[in-house]
Amino acid sequence: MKKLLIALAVLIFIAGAFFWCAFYRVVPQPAWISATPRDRYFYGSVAPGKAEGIPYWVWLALPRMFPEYMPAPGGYAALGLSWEEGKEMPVGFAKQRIGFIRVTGNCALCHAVSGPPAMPRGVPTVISSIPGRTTDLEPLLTFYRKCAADPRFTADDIFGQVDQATRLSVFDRMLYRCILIPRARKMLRDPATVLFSPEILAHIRDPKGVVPPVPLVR
Amino acid sequence: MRNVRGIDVVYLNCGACHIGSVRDAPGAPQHVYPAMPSHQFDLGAFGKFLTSIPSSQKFTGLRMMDQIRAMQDDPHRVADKPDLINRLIFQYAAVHLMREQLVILGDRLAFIDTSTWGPGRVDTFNAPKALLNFPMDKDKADPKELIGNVDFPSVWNQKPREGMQLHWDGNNTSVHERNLSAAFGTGAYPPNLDTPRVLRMASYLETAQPPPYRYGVDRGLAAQGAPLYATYCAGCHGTREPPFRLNPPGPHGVGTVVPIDAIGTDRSRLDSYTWQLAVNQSTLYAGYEKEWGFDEPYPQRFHHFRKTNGYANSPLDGIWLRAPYLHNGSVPNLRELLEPAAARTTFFYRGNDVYDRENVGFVSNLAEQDGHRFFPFDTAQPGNGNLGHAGPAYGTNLPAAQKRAMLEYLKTF
Repeated sequence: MKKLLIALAVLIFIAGAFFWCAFYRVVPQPAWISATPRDRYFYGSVAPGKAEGIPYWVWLALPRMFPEYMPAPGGYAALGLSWEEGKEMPVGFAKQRIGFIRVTGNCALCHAVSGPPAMPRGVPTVISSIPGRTTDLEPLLTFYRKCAADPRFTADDIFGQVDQATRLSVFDRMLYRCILIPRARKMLRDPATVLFSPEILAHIRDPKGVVPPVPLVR
Repeated sequence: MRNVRGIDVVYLNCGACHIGSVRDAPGAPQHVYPAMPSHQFDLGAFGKFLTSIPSSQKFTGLRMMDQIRAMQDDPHRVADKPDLINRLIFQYAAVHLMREQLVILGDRLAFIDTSTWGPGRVDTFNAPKALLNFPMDKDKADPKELIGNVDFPSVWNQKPREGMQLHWDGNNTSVHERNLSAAFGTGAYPPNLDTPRVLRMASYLETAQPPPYRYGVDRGLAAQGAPLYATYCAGCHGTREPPFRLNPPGPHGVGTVVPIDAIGTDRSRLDSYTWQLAVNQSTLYAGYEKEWGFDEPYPQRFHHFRKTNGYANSPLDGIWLRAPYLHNGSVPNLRELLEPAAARTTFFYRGNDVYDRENVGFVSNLAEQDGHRFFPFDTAQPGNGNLGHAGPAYGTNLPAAQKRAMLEYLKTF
């Protein structure tokens, strides 16, 4: 009996550790992001854990899965977001592993804007912040809402895109299929709550009243 | 050809677009040169053939098996005779699977007018827009970005090209990334990339050499052309031999971009490549980087693509085999490239592999030869403009004798 209890305890411990690894283990973002204030502002994660975030591979697959909800060619760049050449993420999206790799919004999603390109049909210059000017997030949030409402937002359809981008491990595939994709869909019906922590949501609702209590740039 | 899950399958590799042929005269044997542009291969027609298959009533499992049976005893065939399981697969599954894939391919690429390519050309950067599934419907896409037709380039001497601005508009400085991007265009996605074999091809191309001019060079005349080349061409195109770079480099040194307003060539290809595409290409091979726990240094997430404002000047190695000229192949031969833009041919034929020794290029004035029809190329069509790369700085105003000498020198490249 005692042996059985010990075995059970070990099992519970292993399962717990597994669970913690899958959902809560915080891995710091790559060093280059915190190396400069600019990159930290553009790509750094704020208040990790408070925002659920969009599972990374779902985030990557959605624009490729639902081009009919995109206003123009260009993935997230077509939704009015700033995006620096050579970078994986548009400005204002932080990619971080907290259990699974997830994408959350940060201050720069609204407070970095693209200035006119230096040459016609050229690359817009990204400016960190301009008083009184913010990015219009409505196209992005509308896009996510439409995706979440679409009956094709299923594990099989999403894997159809993801499998052209990477080879998910068996464990990740189970995690995405059973938990992350259904949960992401449910939450993307109100995309703001997936992207932002409660503090930032309060700030979006009342920009002058509530300033996020997160130190962003040293 | 390779065997995937028990079925022999066939598809293109690098050689489809980068192995070319030359004939000394009509009807003479074909000389095949690896890493030379496949100026005679019509990729657009091949694509059109593939995507027309699914709508044909003849594409059924039964007919496929009839054909396989008719061919299986051919002594020249390279595939194994299908066994029972393979026969069942062919008859009941393969045709349906292939039809589905071809319908998707045809639908995605539908916005690209492949009939404008002709042999030796491809619209390089509208294909990745399709593969990234951008919405390319008429009401969403900018019509100015829909034609990016360019000549296949030669791909020899890749090692000295590392760090140069590669592709016609110079949008990438990494040879490896450029290779993987080309592979992506033919359907090699990150998860199915055959890394060792791609690296094997890449390492072959690093040192692959262009063949010398086949028809003899007038050494004396070429020697007269060398100083003219140094004056008019070397500042942008570099030296004859690797590493090509001048020391010190010119204002538009080899492997850098000359702004469109200066070079003045057709801008369709430049406009077809957009910064929106560049940033989306930066998500290709995401998840393969070191910082996310993948230790292999190759492949890496793309991070070299940049929108530029002109066309890159490339080294001229093996230039005699790289006709027609300019990025869009709008000038049939090297002699005409040295003429002022107004004096260049505005209508010619592409796809003939008989060499034109007089003009240094391929025979371009014949519509048909030995029953083979060539592709009519009209420089008035969108994307086909033959202007630019002209004026005193480009040597197009030199006296005829000096141009002759320059042409002779260029044969030695």
